[in-house]
Amino acid sequence: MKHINTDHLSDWALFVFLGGTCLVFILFITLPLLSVFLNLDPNKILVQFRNPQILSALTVGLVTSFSATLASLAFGLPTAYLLATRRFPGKPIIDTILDIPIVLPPAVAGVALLLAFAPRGILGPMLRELGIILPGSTLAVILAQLFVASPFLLRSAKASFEDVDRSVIESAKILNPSRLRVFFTVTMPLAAHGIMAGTIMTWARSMGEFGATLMFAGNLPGVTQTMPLAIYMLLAEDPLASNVLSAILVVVSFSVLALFRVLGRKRYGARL
Amino acid sequence: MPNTARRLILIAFLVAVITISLIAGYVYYLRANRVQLRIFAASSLANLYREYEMGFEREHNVEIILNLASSNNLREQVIDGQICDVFASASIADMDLLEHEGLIFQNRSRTFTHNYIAIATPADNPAKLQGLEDLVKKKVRIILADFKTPLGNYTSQVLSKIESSWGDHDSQYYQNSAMEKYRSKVLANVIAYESNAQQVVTKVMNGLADAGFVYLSDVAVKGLKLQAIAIPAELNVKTSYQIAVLSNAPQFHLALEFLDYVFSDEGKQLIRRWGFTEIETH
Repeated sequence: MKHINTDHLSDWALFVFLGGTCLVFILFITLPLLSVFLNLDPNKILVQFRNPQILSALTVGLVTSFSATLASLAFGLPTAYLLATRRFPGKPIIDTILDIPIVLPPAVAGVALLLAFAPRGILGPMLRELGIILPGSTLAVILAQLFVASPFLLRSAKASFEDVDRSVIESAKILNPSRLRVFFTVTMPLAAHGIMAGTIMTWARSMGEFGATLMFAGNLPGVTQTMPLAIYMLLAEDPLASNVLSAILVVVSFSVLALFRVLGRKRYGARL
Repeated sequence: MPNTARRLILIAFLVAVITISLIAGYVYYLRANRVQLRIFAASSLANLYREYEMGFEREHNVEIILNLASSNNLREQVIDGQICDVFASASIADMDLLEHEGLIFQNRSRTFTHNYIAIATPADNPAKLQGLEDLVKKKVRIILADFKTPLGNYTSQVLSKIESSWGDHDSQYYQNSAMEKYRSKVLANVIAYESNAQQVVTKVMNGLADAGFVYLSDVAVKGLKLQAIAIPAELNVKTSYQIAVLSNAPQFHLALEFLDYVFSDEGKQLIRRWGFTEIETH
């Protein structure tokens, strides 16, 4: 009997330890997220949607993240397809380089973009000849987001293309020799889930981009000031506006993850 | 969950995002098609220039884009070739540098207001600071502007002035041993150097420090959650703000009109209201 008792005791200790750690951790993550909403007075929120600073940040944020996502698709999909289906020397190196922005500190991304594309950067004088000055322009915001967020799409699309069963493609090719047709009718539908997940990730990451945008594009309301930049700038003079924008971004983040759940984590889960 | 429901939710999400983005794109397009006047202004001018923005937009069909940062940062952005119509600098040095680069229209910059340095504490003054001598106490947390910014430069001058006046045995104003080596004692208490004046105000206001060196205009405005410790006039520095039109300003005529507005009666009245010091008129 005594023997069984000590077993129960250690079970209890383990349970308390696990439960306690888990609770502390959950609170640590949940509390800050909740406090974003606890300060908001519903009566004051609606007025905030007429606040020009919030509106311009929303406008710039949506326009740039949408454009950056489209650009990621335009360049990312062909690249992902090529990397997933062909073998060539140096491929692992290219794979790695294209993934670097995922772990690169955004401030470094900002400096790197400045050194490459700013008027005093490597390509700067050339762009200037063409009448393009990137810092201080909306295009620079899109480029910063593309740089930082496109690897999410690339990774996910690459993995999905790799997962498409080769034998299915081969049999499709026997039935229909047009490579393009097979790509759009067989390969794409089979890889669609992963591509969609990557696209949504890239969009969400673009919306939240801060460091590279601030350094490379600057902080001009209505031109380069996206939501995170406005949150930072408004913190002092208009804390409520800053709070409302933060709440919007928390809701966006939550919806994106909820969407992943709804779509079935079997397909998405491990990959992102 | 059935597959059709999943697909519906996904499609609803995509449709929502695309619709909102297209609306935003249209709004952005409308805005971009308006005449834009780009004004680069020192961050300490934020409140004043927001009022100028509203006042000027009321009279003119123009969209003002206000770029607020430290003057040295703005000066670099201009030299880098960013589009700018009007530059309002917190220091003469940054304006001079642009003049040397030939970027200022007719090399003509005008002083439009003055300011002084003050010490700000959070509204509840947690460290119970009463005067300059309290800043050297142990465990007082101080925030300064980076010395490369105008505010940082002025702060540095004030610290040296205090040390050589109140902390020097040979000075007739010598106070006590606590004021000796004042500058380095204060610097030892500094927990952060901020990149512009506005950031110092923000951090102090949010209680991230016990005190910060800011502009007098920052503490003069009622309603801001700050308490001020005055720096006596003989230890203070009088700073000058200058404004100029850029020689390659895309909206050249509007830029000149904006300068007229700053020097108008309304402009001067706003300068007083936001705690700045008027220029002497001869």
